[in-house]
Amino acid sequence: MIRLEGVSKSFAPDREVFKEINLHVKKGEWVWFLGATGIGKSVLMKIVYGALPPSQGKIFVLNEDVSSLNETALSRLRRRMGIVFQDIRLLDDRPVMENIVLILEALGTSGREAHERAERWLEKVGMIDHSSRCPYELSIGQQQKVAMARALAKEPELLLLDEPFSSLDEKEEREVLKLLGKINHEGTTILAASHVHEVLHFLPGRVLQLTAGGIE
Amino acid sequence: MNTGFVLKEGSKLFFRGRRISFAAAAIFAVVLSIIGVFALGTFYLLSFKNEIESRLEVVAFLSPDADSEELIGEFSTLEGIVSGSAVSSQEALEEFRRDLGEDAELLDILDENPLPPSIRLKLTPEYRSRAQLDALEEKLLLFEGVEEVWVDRNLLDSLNKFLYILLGADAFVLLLVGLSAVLVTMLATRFAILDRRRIIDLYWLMGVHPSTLRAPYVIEGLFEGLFGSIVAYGIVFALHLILYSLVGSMGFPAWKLAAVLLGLGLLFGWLGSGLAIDAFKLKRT
Repeated sequence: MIRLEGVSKSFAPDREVFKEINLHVKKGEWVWFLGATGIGKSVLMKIVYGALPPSQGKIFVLNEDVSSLNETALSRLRRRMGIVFQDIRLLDDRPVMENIVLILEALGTSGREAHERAERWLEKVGMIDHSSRCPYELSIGQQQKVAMARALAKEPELLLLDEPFSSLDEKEEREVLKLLGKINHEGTTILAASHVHEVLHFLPGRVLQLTAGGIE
Repeated sequence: MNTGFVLKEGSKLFFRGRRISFAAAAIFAVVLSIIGVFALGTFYLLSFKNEIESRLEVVAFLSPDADSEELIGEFSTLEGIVSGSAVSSQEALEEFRRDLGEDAELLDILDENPLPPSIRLKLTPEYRSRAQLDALEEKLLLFEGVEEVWVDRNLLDSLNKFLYILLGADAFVLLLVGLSAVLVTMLATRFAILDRRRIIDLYWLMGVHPSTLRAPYVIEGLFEGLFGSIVAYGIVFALHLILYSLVGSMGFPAWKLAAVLLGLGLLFGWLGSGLAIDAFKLKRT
């Protein structure tokens, strides 16, 4: 599903983020990258979804060599992924429902189906009552849940979560984890990055520690 | 590419409060109006040229004993000849006398009429060219009784020169204002892209096909061209009505002009937005 072969990333000769990361994530697996802020978790996630090229090494996602893909092939690959970004990236001037429907329609889903799916996933993350509100009217935690609904509404094979719980309270965290556990159980591979160690207590999946040297 | 989404987004870009789109459409209207006025002027001048050309005659001068009626019958079998009319020596002299006006007395000193009988031939439009006239002259000279053939080549050359100048001016205007229209669309599209950079990046990260991301901007450019051409057509038509009230009966190439303005509007819109989009790269790093 995901294979990293000797992946290194540096932004300048003296600014190496990580080096020689080797990793194999199987289909249906749930893997956590844990590490301190600034250690490179988001950079690694961006490399996985092709937003950043690695400085060295090869990366295969869903059997595709990410760094060799052209625009069209990369868009096809990303279509199979659901991504929850660390900076959430909701459209502030569009209601929650439209934030999801727009993406689905742009991906080719019919308007009716897009609405049905958006409603279903907003219901599952507990945000259906806020569907007509704009993101700026919501708390950061609520925005994170909308972003999660948006990623899940794509019904992806691979779900990438970058700091998904950073603004959720403990109760919300448990609810979301329960939902993700169910999705993972149904076959969706999950790759998540977090600096919150507490979540480990009730997390299923493989936990990897990202350090300055690489993965431990 | 998701066609429904592209059309919806493209029309949204144009209609939903994008002042820059309307500004671009307004500039399109001005540019296309200039082109339309030139096209209309060209149409009138070409009609005028055709009118003058239709008066072009080939004159076959005959020997005094030639049977002009028989020759007219024979000439009418030749390609390119519409009709012929015989002019006797006497008629030619009378005509010459009229042309001379007050100086006609000068002709009284002549003992006999020096003017030969002739046949004046009207030509089909496609035979009003130098090459065709040269060929026709050769053919006419082969007939017994035809002594000389005269064609007003100067008129023809002047008309052709006028036509080249006219078409050259048209091409120049078309190029100049066309380029400005393309540049305006490019700028409008650039602004629209910059304005929506955030949502474009989001779509791109979510896996939306690159052509689905870019195509709405082409639709927006086409809308700008479409609206510009409709307004321009209205302006040119209004101008025609004013001219009509001043000058009187004048033809108006309604469908041709509409097709030209619409075609150019869409072409400029497509070119401008297409060029702006080509320069727009999706973020990879």
